[in-house]
Order: sequence, then structure tokens, then C-alpha cells
Amino acid sequence: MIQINELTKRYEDGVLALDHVTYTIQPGEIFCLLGANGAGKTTTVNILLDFIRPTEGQASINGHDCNKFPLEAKKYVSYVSENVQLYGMFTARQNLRFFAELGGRKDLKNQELDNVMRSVGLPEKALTMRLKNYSKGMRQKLGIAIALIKDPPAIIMDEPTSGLDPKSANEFLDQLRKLRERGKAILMTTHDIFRAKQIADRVGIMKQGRLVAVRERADFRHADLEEIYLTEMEAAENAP
Amino acid sequence: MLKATNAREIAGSLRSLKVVAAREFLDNLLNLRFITGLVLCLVVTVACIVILAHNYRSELADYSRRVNMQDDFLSHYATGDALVVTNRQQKPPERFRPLIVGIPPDETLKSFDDNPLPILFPPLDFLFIVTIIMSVLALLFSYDAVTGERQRGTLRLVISNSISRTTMLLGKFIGGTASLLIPFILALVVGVLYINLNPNIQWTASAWAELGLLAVASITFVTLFYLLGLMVSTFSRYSAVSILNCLFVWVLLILAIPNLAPYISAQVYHIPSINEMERRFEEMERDSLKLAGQRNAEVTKDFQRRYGKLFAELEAMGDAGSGRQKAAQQRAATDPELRAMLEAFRDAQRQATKPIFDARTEAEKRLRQDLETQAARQTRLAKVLACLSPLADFTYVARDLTGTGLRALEHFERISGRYQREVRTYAAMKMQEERQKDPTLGRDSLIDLSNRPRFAFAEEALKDKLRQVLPCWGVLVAYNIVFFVAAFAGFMRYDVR
Repeated sequence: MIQINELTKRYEDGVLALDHVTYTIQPGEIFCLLGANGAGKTTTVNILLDFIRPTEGQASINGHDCNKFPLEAKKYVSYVSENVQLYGMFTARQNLRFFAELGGRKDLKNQELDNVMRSVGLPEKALTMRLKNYSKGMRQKLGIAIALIKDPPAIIMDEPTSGLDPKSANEFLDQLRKLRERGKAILMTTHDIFRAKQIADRVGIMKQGRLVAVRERADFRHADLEEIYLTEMEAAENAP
Repeated sequence: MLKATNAREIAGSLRSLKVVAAREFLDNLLNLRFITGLVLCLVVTVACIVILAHNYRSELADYSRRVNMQDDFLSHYATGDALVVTNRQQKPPERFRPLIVGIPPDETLKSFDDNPLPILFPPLDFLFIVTIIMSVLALLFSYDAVTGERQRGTLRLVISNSISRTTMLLGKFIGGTASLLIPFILALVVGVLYINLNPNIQWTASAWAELGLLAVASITFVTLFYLLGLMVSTFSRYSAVSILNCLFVWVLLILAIPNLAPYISAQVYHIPSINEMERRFEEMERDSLKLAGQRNAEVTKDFQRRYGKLFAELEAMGDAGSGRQKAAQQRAATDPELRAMLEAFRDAQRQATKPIFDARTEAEKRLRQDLETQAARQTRLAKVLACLSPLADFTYVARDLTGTGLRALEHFERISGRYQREVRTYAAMKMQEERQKDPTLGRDSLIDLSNRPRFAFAEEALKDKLRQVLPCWGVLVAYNIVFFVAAFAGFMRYDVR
């Protein structure tokens, strides 16, 4: 569903943000990208959403090249950012309707919008609240609702649990599990090894633009993912 | 198949355009700046129209009074001379005076001394509202259209959907402009309703057409500034930088260019001052008189040589140079020889000095023509330079369309001249006609002038006005296109991160 092939990005100032990265995310799979700041996680997301162009390589969603045919590729993906920001003067329902219509869903009834918001755990009173009164956790949930209502086969999440309290983070992971059950291919970048271990089917470890390791769930289900992460990072450090 | 795909894509783009435009519109409507704009437009427009409509009514009454007084005078003192001298054509106040303050044709220093406040602080009018208030509002609506969304983080989320940047920019333009124009159109409608509810003010179909064109021209001007803000926004990373850049360009376009244009033009085409001109004329006069004096002296010497004693007699009677003395004339009447010499002397003097005075007259004429040519060039260049400013373009369009500008004054002078000629011809014919009936009739005798031509002011035809304003209107449209294309280019390469 999400394919990344030899993806390379060198910025104008010479910094190599991505160095020939290759992986594929299948439908019904959650792929967590782990790495420190500047490892290249967000650069990957930016290329997938055509915010920036790659220097080399290719990224595609549902078989559509993200940079040659971005509008086609973006029909099949939803994006949840680290800090979901929406239109503060609009209510949650107005925001959701706007993004649903932008995603091609038209003539939605209020009831349908409300059901999606309830399904992500937003309380009843929040449905008609203005977004300027929302907490970060509530905004993240609404971000998921926006991703859900478009109902695409792929979802890209850029550090979505960052800054969430433990309860909200757990509720968020529950939502992810449901999405996986519905066959969505999910790419999630994160610093949070604990959450990655809880939710990921596979983890990719990135360091200085390189994908230094990819581990299956079986590899870290009963092991300490943090130790695996640190070992791989050290190995990458010492590699020639 | 391909056609069906294209049609689907176009339908999708139009749907996205509608969604983005509706969102932008609603977002602006919920924003404080919309309320501020609405209140400002309504209050200022209605207040200024109430004041100007009151002034207009006074001017209308004053105009009627002046016309009646003139008629009254001519019916009591109806002489041919009085008709020519006192029958001045009265210019009615322009029908758009309740909206736009025209150029006062009879503004004098005295009126400044009487009550300086209206001149120091002229009343606000529709031109001020559009060129200053609406242009600033337009910038306030658009300066953060892109930067604001980037800083808030909504731009990434929107662009992550299957929407092209062109569609998004167009949607922002349509939605933003619509929300901006609501306060303006609402205020204009309220103002025009107020004007037309007054029984003394009745607009004809052409006045309504002019109002419609004025509204369209105003929208062209306002969208220009919205697009300017949008363009600056697509080239800025932060809203604070964007608003500063917008204000800089606004000052340049609205304040600097129109004010600098006459100055630059005056530097390019120098026109001497009145004092300098007077000094040059005095110099010419002095030189020509000096030269004429020398030539006269030569003629006198020649006559002394040729006529000897007879000329000495003439000189003894007074200043022979002038040849105007009574004694000389008396003597010339009885002495044919002296008369012949005196006439010859006068002819010689005339012939000697004529080329000098002719040359002076020619030089003066040339100097005046140069001055006029230079002044015309200066004015033309100043106008061309000023037209780089949308303010100047809009002012020309609005004033010429509504008959409140210089062109309207020229039009009035043109038809006034025609009327004056008509009156003079009528007066001469009438006097001739009356003298045939009564040969003793003098210049001061009263005659029947009831069928005299009356001055009827007619506005210039709308199509002529339109033809005149098209170039300036074209500049406004060109600015719109340039700013949109630049905004498009900026947004295409805008880093949404």
C-alpha cells in the first residue's frame, strides 16, 4: 500500500536527510518509524504527502507516485500530525465536515459526522464546541476522526502521541488497533518506544537518514525494544 | 474514457474550490476583522453620505436661487448688454456629490479665510472609503491568508488532501473577496438608499448605470489590494513579516507614487516661475526699447543731415523724436513742406523700430508657447507616473465616471463657451432686430429677451465617459492579473512545512 524505494533527500544546504531508504507497508499493518530528532522520519512523511520533492528514489501510495501524481496519491491517504491544528472559530462538526468534503465525502448528515466523532472517544458536548476550546488530546482525537471519515486505505501519522497524557495515548492506540482491523496501512513516526512496542507490527529504526534496521513484532514482543533500538543505533554508529 | 476522467477531475476541482471558498468565507465572517470592517464601513459610509447629501441639498437650493435671481434680473434690466454681461451659465452641483466631493470650481483664498476647517479637514467621501479604508481592510483580510494557515498548522492538513494549490489559492481568493465585499456593498446600498429616499434627489437611468460601473470599478480596486496581500503572503513565512511588507507596498502605491509623480515630472520638464517669466519679459522690453531708441537716434541724425534747417525748426518746437507736439502739428497743417517731412520722419521711425518690436512680440509668443508646451508635457508625465498608482487610476475612473473630476469641468467649460457664443449672437441679432423697429434704441434700452437661449447643463454621454476611463481601469485590471499570477507563482513553490 505504502511503498518507499531508495528514497533519498539532500537539502539545498547539503544536509542528507534521507539516504536510500526502502520499505513497504502492507494493508492491515502498523509500521512504526523510530529515531532521534533529525533521523529523517518527518522528511519521509513530507515526501509522501508531496510537501517536498525527493532527490532520488520513489514513494508511492496505492501504486501512485507521490511526487509525479500527488493529487492521485493523496486520494488514498489521510494524515494525522504531531499537533493537529484545525480552524479555531469552527465547531468540531464544521471542521470535520470541511475536511470530509475536501476528502471527497459529500452530503454527510450531522448524525454521520457525530457518530465518527463519538467513535474516536470525543464526549458529546465536544461535538458542537469551537475548536479554540479543545485540549490537545481532543484535537488529536478529532484528527483521527478526520482521517477516519475520509476512509482511505493508508494513514500517515507523524508523532501523533507526542504530548498526550497516558489515558489519551491509550485511547489513541485503541483507535489505531481498530483501524488496523479495518485493513488500513498505517505509517507512524514516533520517539516513544513504549507505545511503538504496544502497537507496531514492524518497527523501522532510522539514524541520520538511514534505515538501519527493520524488526518484526516477533522480534520485540518478548524483548526490550529499547535495548534493541540502542543496540542498532550503536551498531550503526560503529558501521564503516 | 479520457474525456470522462477529465470531466471527473474538473468536477472534483470545482467541488474542492467551492469547499475551500466556503470555508474561507465562513472563517472570515467569524473573525473579529469582519465585524470591525462591517461596523467601520457602515458607520463611515452612512455618516459621510448623510453629511454630503445635506451639503448637496444646500448646493442644489443655492443653484436654483442663483438661476432664479439671474432670470429675475434679466426680466427687470433686460438690455442686450446686460444679457451678455450678466447671463452667466450656472453649473448645477454634480448628481454624485452625495457620494463624491467634486473639485470646487470657485475655491478661493477668501473661502479659506472664512472657514478654514472644511479645507483643512475635507469631509470624507466614497473615494476616501474605497481608496483608504477598503484597501487597508483588503490587506488585513489577506495578509495572513497563507502565512497564517502555515503558522497555525492547518495548511499542511489541507494540502495533505487531494486538492491542487491552484484550487486552494482560487478558493481563498473567492471566499476572502466575497467576505470582504459584504461590508462594502452593504454600506453602499444603505448609502444609496438614503440618497434616493430624498425627494429632491432623483437619479436618472444613466446615473444608476454610472453607479453600477462605479461599484464594479471599486470592486476591481478592492480585489487588487486583496490580491496584493495574498501575493505578499505567499512570499512570506510569517504573518508579521507579511503585514509589514503589505504596509510598505501600500504606502508606496497609495501615498508615495501619486505624491512623487508631480515632483519627478517637474524635475524632468522644468517650468520657469512667474517671477522668472516676468523678469525675462522685462529684459526683452528693456532691450527692445534700447534698440528702438538707438534706431530712432539714427533716423533723427539722418533727417538732420537731409533736411538741415527745416528739421531743426521741428526739433525746436519740442521733442522731435516723438513727433506728437501740438505746435508741430499746427505748423504742419499750414506748411506742406514741413508736413511732408514730418510724415516721412514718422514713417522712417516706424520702419526702423517695427522689426524690433515685431521680433520682441514673436520672442514673447515663443516663450509663452514653450511654457505651455512644457507645462503640458509636465502634466502628461505627471499623470502617466501617477497612473502607476492604483489610487490615481481609481480616482480618475471614479471622478470621470461620475462627472466630479477635471474632465467634467472641461466639459462644462466647453458647453459654457458654446452657450456664450450663442448668447452673443442672439444679443446682436436681437439689437439689430429691435433697432429696425425703433432706430432711437440705445444700448441701455430695455428690450424683450423672453425668448433668449437658456443654459441647460447636460452630462457627458456615458459611452464617452467610459471610453475615457478605460485606460485607467485597464491598469487596475492589469494589477489584478499581475498580483494573482505572482501569488500563484509564490504559492506553487511555497514551503507548507
